[in-house]
Amino acid sequence: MEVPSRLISPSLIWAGVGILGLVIWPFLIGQYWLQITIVSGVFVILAVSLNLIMGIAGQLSIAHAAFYGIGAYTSALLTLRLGLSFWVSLPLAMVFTAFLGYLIAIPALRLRGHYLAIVTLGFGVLIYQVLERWESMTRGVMALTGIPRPTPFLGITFRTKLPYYYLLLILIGIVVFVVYRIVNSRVGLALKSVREDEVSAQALGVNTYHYKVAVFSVGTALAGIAGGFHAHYQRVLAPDEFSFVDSVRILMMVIVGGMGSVSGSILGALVLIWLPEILRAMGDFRDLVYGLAVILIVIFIPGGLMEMFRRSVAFLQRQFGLSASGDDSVVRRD
Amino acid sequence: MDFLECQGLTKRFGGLHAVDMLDFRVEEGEILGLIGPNGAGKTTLFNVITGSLVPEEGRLTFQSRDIVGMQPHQIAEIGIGRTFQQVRLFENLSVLENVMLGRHCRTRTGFLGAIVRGAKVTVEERQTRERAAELLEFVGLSGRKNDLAKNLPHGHQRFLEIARAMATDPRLLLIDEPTSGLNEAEGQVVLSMLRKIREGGVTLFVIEHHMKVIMNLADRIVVLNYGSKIFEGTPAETQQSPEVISAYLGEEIE
Repeated sequence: MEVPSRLISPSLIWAGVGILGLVIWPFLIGQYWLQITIVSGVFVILAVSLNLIMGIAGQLSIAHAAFYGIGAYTSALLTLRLGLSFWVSLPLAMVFTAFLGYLIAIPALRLRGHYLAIVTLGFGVLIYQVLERWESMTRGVMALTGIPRPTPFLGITFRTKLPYYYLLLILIGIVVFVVYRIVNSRVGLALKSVREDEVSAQALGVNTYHYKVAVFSVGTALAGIAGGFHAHYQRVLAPDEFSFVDSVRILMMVIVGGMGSVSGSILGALVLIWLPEILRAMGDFRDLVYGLAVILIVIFIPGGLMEMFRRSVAFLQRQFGLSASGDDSVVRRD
Repeated sequence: MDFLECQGLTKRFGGLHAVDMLDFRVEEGEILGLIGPNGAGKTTLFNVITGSLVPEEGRLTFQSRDIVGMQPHQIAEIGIGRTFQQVRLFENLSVLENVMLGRHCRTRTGFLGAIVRGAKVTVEERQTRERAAELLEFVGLSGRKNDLAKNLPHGHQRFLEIARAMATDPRLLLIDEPTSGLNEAEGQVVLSMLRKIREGGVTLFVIEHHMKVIMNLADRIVVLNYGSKIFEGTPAETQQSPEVISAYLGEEIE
């Protein structure tokens, strides 16, 4: 196999093209689709962070939207009540969300499987009730309004969707980078060993309990970031965005994209937000087709969309005799 | 210095004394065999030593250190490795990754280190890969390092489990039925691996069902029945012992 030595690797070129594409993307679409793009971007962070907890470490959590909500309300209230700047309230919201994630993880992660799922489910319901009933703080169903925009940063003001889009792009970049680095490391291997077989993992010196609590804290911290951004972008918060149904929605994104795959979670979030918009033309049949599509994906591609993508590429390469970089023995990277 | 020593060790499940007032020691550098009829408490004893089960009574020391109450991951850290009666691999991870995980207790990278990925981290990762590759070479699985563990045939899975346990740099290795489910040839391979491991300075404590195998492999043998030690001695003495023969009533000892 002869691979000519290149100064610039093909993957670097693809990354460059991808980033350029993302930068010019808002200029190719209208305001409506930019809105959809930003919403789907928030869910990319949520799906990628839940995948770290569920797909990589194997801990089923049905409370991710609750942590998203905690991040959103924390950041909003810090700016509204204490007059903090968004640039301070966002990291604080992240830390506070991680702290609550840590608190719930300590008792919950002593449980496994269905029991853990039920505890996280209960926590999700509890947070929803707090957001709805603690009206003096959250204004409940009347919604928390007047959340300030981020203060200008380096002369950039947040008056239109465009700067929000770029801010979100940076946040997604950081989140994906952090998760990718964790997954492809000693820590990532340890997390996967917890998913695969806790008894074996312990016999090799992996402190499984420590890793479960840690990954839950990191995953919920990232959900807190998504929440903080969302609060100051939308500038109105109501509890019904952070319910059980929303947790399940994030869960579906991870499953549809492919459990344990970072790129799969990104794809899963994009598909599940964009699909209903694209199907809007179908009118009343929309939800039917959407539900059917999700069922078909889960039944026929249990490995998720990313797995399907990988297989199609491999199939095309075989059909046309292209072996791309030509090395099938490369260790699979998530 | 005492290597592994247990005195009056007792593990009960309800009224059942799975391990009952057991006294024995493992001497450094030997291969000690552990035999006994089904349900004699052999695997329970392994689970007690490795911290998966906590004994009700008795003392258990490793290199003069009390290890009762230590968590399984701490036991691995102080140098006691194990394999399982039913192979327990990380099925959806690659063969190489399985062995790399064995290095976990000898490496340090944490969450922050993984994210920043400084020079130390990359060096540690390279060393982990190299050590894992060496061990795969040792068990003859170098050619399959990128396959998923679940796609290996059963015999190779046993080899892989041994490589993974060796990656923890154990001083004492507990091996639960190394030849179970293997054919004659594979069994021979495992036995020669175990001998080489002992030559490398690792002490072995081996549960084995096949009498012929353990008589050949072990320097000494402890025989359990109903959780108690009924005999201890060389393989030759064990074969002649009337207590052992009656415990195995009907089973032939060759």
